[in-house]
Amino acid sequence: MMSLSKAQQELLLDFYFSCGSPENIEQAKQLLITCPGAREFYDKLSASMSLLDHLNDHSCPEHLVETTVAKLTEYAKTASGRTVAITSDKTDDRQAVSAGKTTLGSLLEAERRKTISAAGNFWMRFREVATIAAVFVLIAFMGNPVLRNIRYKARQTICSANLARIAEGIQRYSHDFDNCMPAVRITAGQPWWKIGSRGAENVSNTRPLWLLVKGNYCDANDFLCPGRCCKPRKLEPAFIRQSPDFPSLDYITYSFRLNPFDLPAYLPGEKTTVIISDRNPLFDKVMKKLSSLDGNSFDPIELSEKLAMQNSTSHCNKGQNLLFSDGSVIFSKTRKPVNLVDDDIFTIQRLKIYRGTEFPQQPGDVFLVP
Amino acid sequence: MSQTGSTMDTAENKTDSQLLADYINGSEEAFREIVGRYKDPLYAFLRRLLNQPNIVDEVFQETFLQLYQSRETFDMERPLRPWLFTIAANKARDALRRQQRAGTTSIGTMGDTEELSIEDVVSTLKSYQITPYEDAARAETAARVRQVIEKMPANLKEILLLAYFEQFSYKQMAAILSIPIGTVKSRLHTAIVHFTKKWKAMNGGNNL
Repeated sequence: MMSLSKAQQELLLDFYFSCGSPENIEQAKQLLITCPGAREFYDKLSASMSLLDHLNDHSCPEHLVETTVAKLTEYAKTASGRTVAITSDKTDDRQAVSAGKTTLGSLLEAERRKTISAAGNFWMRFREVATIAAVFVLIAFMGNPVLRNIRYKARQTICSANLARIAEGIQRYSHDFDNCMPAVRITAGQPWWKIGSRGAENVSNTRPLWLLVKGNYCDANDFLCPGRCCKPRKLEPAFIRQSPDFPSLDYITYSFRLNPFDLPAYLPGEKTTVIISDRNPLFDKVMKKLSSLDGNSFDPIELSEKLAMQNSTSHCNKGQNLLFSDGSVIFSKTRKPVNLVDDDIFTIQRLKIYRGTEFPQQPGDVFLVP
Repeated sequence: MSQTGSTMDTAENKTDSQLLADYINGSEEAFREIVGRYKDPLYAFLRRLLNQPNIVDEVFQETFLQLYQSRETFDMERPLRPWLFTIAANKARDALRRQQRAGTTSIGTMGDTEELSIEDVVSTLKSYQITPYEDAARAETAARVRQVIEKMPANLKEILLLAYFEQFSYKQMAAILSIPIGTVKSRLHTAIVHFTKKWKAMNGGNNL
């Protein structure tokens, strides 16, 4: 490329960003006509900058507009209320001054009037005592079955909200990636239970969901069901950027659909399949025993009658929250949701023994792991 | 006649400054119209700059609240768009600082100098082919561009986004970022060099 002076480069830069004066624009045009080096520079600059077009044009969600307008209206009302209050106080002051009441005596009188009455004190103390008593009552009733049930319901609701947020993340991800679900290339026969593996090869079945955390589509804590894990976990941004997977099973309590077929498309509005559920109960025990990712230390599991019936343990074995491909979340008391026509979401059809490397053979066979 | 008259009075037919007068007086209709007019460019700018939906929502709301709070100091003769972006850029910087203090993110080195010239950098690029035709390759490129942008120092990122997507003039950018016009030019220059260098490094210099 023929070398351009700094002034010429600046001229072309101003021209590119349409920031020059009319004279500068004319000079830049002349330079582009007469100097091949200038044309080359301009073309490469345009090519480099046009990469930015890959950053999607996000449109503002409607709910954000509504929230913003609601907050503004609320704030405007409060602000005007405060103005009225201040104005009326000032009016009172002016009246007091004009009446000649700003003497020491009147101030003392006002101060006396301000004294908190005994009745006020009583109610203040009563409130404090009542609050403390309520805390004691709460502690005493912690073990009460009714309260246990309330806690169970609350966890179920929070878990369902987690899945709804994950669904939103998937929707945003698919919007950015040509309607594709988060997915990584996997090969049949890989150990899908190796969560936290650092190798370049995709093995664990949590790597597709990690893409949502890595790309800021979801928060890492969205993947923690309160039925299993109460404490939010903190992941350093540097770790999130560099890691190819969740650190370990402790950081994700959900099971994801294992899909060895083509990269799945995101299907908004179609409740065709379950994509995420509370953790698969089949592998609970064996996964707890795994201390190391090295070697295939996954003890084979034979599908017993009990294991074939058991619900996820995340919600006291009463059922599991399921996220469908249309973004809806349903709490199902069985492992065979109505719209999947007799497919058990936690097993592979007609398979009795599991070694941690099996993959479904039919596209319609939903198998959620780990 | 009266029907035409009432149509002319609706919020959507009003100019920004007429709407602002109503906005200042707390009119919900004006709030809705102003938010509606600027929601998409402002949201897109914040998404590209911050890339964290929850913070973007917060900053978006704070921007319009701040516009109302500073109603008494606002010069009605000034155009609204640069003023809104000024508030948004300030709020975004505050949010990034808060996050940095909380130790959850880094706003990057606030770089203002790059030794190489734009010509030095662009001349080392070997190909003009920047738009992959296949969808999968395009998605991959998009992810890499986002990664480069995300890692850029905040001051370089914001000026590049304001210049490229919002097409503000140097003068407007100087007002938005509260820096002299000379600094706007040199910072934009640095941002282009930085972006191109990082892109080249990420892609091994073979393609743009």
